Amino acid sequence: MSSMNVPEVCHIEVDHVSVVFGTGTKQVTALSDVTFQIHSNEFVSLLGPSGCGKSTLLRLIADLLQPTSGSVRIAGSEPERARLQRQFGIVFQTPALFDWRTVRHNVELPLEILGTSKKECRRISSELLEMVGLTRFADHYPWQLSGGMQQRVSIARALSLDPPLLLMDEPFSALDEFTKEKLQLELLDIKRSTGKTFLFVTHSIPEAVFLSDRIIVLSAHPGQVHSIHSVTLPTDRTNDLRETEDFYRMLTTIRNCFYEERDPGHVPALI
Amino acid sequence: MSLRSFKLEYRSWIVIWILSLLLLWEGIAWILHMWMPPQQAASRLPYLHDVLAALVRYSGTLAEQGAVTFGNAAIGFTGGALLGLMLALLMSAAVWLERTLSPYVISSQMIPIIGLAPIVYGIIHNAEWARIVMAAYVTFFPIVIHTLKGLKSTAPEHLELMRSCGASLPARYIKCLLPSALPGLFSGMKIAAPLAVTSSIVVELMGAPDGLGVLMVSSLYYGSAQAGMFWATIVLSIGIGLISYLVISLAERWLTPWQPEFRAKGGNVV
Repeated sequence: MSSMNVPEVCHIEVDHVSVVFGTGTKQVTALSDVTFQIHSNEFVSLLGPSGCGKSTLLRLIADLLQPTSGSVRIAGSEPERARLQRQFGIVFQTPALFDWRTVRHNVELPLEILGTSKKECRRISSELLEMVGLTRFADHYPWQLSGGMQQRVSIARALSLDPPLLLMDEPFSALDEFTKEKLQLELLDIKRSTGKTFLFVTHSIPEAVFLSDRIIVLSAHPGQVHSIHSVTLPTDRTNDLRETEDFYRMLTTIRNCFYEERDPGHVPALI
Repeated sequence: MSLRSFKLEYRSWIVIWILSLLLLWEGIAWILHMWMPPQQAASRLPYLHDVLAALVRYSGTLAEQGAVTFGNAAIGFTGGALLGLMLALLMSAAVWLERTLSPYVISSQMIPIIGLAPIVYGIIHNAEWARIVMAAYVTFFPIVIHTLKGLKSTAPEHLELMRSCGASLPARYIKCLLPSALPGLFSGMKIAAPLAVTSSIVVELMGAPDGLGVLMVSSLYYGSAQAGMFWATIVLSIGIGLISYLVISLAERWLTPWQPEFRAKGGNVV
C-alpha cells in the first residue's frame, strides 16, 4: 500500500485465541491459536466444514462465549464493552423472531430495550422495512411470512441500532437456492449503502466468494486458521459475476484448500 | 367454504356425543329400574329426568351453594396461580434456587388432600379460609411445573439476542421469558382450575357451614329419597369445573394468539 492511502482501521482483532470445552479426558479443543484481523468496511467470511469452530469464533466476538486463552478486541475494546455499547448486531441461522410481536415490533425490539422514543422507533423501523422490502408486511406476524422474509426481518432488526459491525452466523443456510441468491444480492446492497463491517460465517464456498472481500478458511479438529484469501473480484457484484471465469478461478483456489494433500507435519487436516 | 362445513361438522359431533351420553344414562337407569326396586336402583343410578327435575326444583339452593364453592375455589385458584408463577420465576432465576425449592414443591404434593384438609381446617378454624387455602394448595403445583418448563424452553437464540441487545434482567423477563412461558402457564392453569373446585368440595365434605360439599353430604344422609339431589350436586360440580376450564381456554386464546393451534388457517402470505 502506498503511504498516500488512509491506513486501514482495524475493526476486529483476534489474537492467539484458543477455546477448550470440557475437562479431563473429555476435553475438546474447539479453537487452537487463532489469529486474524478484520478491517473497517470489510466483508469477511469465515469458511469451513462443520465442526471447525467458525460459529464458536463468532460467539467469542459476540461476547456469548469466553476464550480459554488469547484475546478478542472490537474497535479496541473488550467484546463485553462492545456489546454493552451496542457495537454489533447479530443475525442467527434461524430468524429468531418473537412470534408474539408483529414484523415492525420485532425490528423495533433492540430500540425498545435501549429506550428509544415510540416515534423514533417507528421512523427507524419504517426505514429499515423499506430497505428490506417488507413495508407491506409491517403489521403481519412472523409466522405469516416465508423463511426468506423472516430472515430479512432478522437482518433489519440487527441493523436497527445502526451498529458499525454485523455478525452473521450462516444466515442463509436454511433457505432455498433462489431466495439465497436474492438475499445475497440484497446483503451486498446493504453493505454498499451502509458501509458497515461484516463478519459472515458460512459453509458454502460460492456464497463466501460471491459476498466477501476476504475469506478466512478454517480447518477442523482442532479449529485453526488454514489460510486467508483476498477475493480479487469487482466490488459492484451482480448475478452475472457467478458465471465469470474469475469467479470460477476463485472457487477453485478456495476449494483446493479443502482437498490438498494432507501433510501431518505442516498443513492441518481440514476434515 | 370448507372451513365452515368443518365447523358445522365439529359442532354436530358435540351434539351427537352429548345426546348419546344422555341416552346411555337414561338407558342404564331404565335397565337398573327393571331389575331392582326403585329405591335401590335410584341409589345406584337415578333416572336422568329425575336428576334434571331435582336440578330445576332446587335450582335456588344449588345456585347459592354452587356460588359459594365456586367463589372460594376461584379466590384460592387466583392466589395459588400467583404463588405458582412467583415460584416458577424464582426457580428460573438461578439453578441453586431451583435445586433448593423443588424438593419442597414436589413433596408438598405427596400429602393426600383428604389428609391435609382436616389439618388445615384445624389450624385455620375458618371454613372460608380453609377452602381457599386448599384450592390454592392444589393449584400452585401444576402451575409451577408448567410455567418453569415454559420459561426453560425459551429459544437459546432469543436469549442470546436479548444479551446482544444489552437487555436488563427485567427487560429479559418481560419481553422474552414471560411471553415464552405463557403457553406453559395456561396449560398449568387448565389442569389446576378443575382441581381447585374439587379440593374446595373436599374441604366442605369435612364439615363446612355451606357449599356444594355440604349439600352432597346432607343429601347422602337422606339416602335414596334424595338421590336426585345428590346427583344434581355432582352434575353441578362437573359444570363448574368445565366452565372454569373453558374460561381459561378462552383467556389463553385471547392472550396468546400466536400459538400454532390458534393461528388462522389458510396458508401463509408469500
